[in-house]
Amino acid sequence: MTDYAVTPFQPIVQGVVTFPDGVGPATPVEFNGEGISAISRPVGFPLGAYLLDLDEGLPGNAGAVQPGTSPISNPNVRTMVTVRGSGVPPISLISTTAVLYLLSPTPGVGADQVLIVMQTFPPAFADPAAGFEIIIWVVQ
Amino acid sequence: MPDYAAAPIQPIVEGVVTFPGGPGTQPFFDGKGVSAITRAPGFLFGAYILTLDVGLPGNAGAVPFAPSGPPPLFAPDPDVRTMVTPISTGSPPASFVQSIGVSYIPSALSGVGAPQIEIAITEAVFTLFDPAGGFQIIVWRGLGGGPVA
Repeated sequence: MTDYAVTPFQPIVQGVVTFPDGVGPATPVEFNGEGISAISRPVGFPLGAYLLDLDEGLPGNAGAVQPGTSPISNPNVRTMVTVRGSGVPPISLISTTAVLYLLSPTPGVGADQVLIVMQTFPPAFADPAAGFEIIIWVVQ
Repeated sequence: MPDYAAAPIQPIVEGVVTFPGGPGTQPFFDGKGVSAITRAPGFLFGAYILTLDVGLPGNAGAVPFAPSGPPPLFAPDPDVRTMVTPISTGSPPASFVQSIGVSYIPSALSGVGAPQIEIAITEAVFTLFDPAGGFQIIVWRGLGGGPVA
């Protein structure tokens, strides 16, 4: 029988991303939690895309995630994003969410940044007005 | 530096919401950490209010509402995380869910925090609806850290 107890869920990132000045093109974005040292909007994308820099971390536990065979098929990292809704009821208006792990140019470092992209419908980049929760963890 | 090893995920709510009478009927929660589930007032589909158990400090019950300081435009509730996953029907099991939103409803009592969670689920085009197979929900607290910009 599988010993489920040997696969604990140990996040390297957990927090909430919000927009202190409200949503809109290039407004400030803030991360509140653990495991992230900086957050910004990628150049050229004023809405719906967020670049999170992972903390410098401990090998195999925190910090850069292992890259796998390509940035897309990274086998050792998991990310969960939950959008917070605003209004009554709290509809989020976000219809797609995607994550991408950006490799460091330094060999052996792995992916030290995470890119989150959100869209509304019809597809267009959009900020969720009430922000979103994010959890990142590594499996070995 | 954060001590990651000291921040395990410890759910305060875990369960499944279903609609025994079919979509549009009374929702039913089967799990732990929730004492009541209702539809949000005025909405016949897709919006649910879950009332947390009266709980133990730091483990179950009300979730922290907001950090100290001036209230932001939308309370960030920095210490609570929710995961919602639709359960689908059919083959393949398409959920038809277009968006999921969560919100934390603060108590009117000072210091109590948010004892209720509201969830809004929509299909195309952002129309509230009940996923036929119901949905799974996990709520837990994430503690520590601070703002980064």
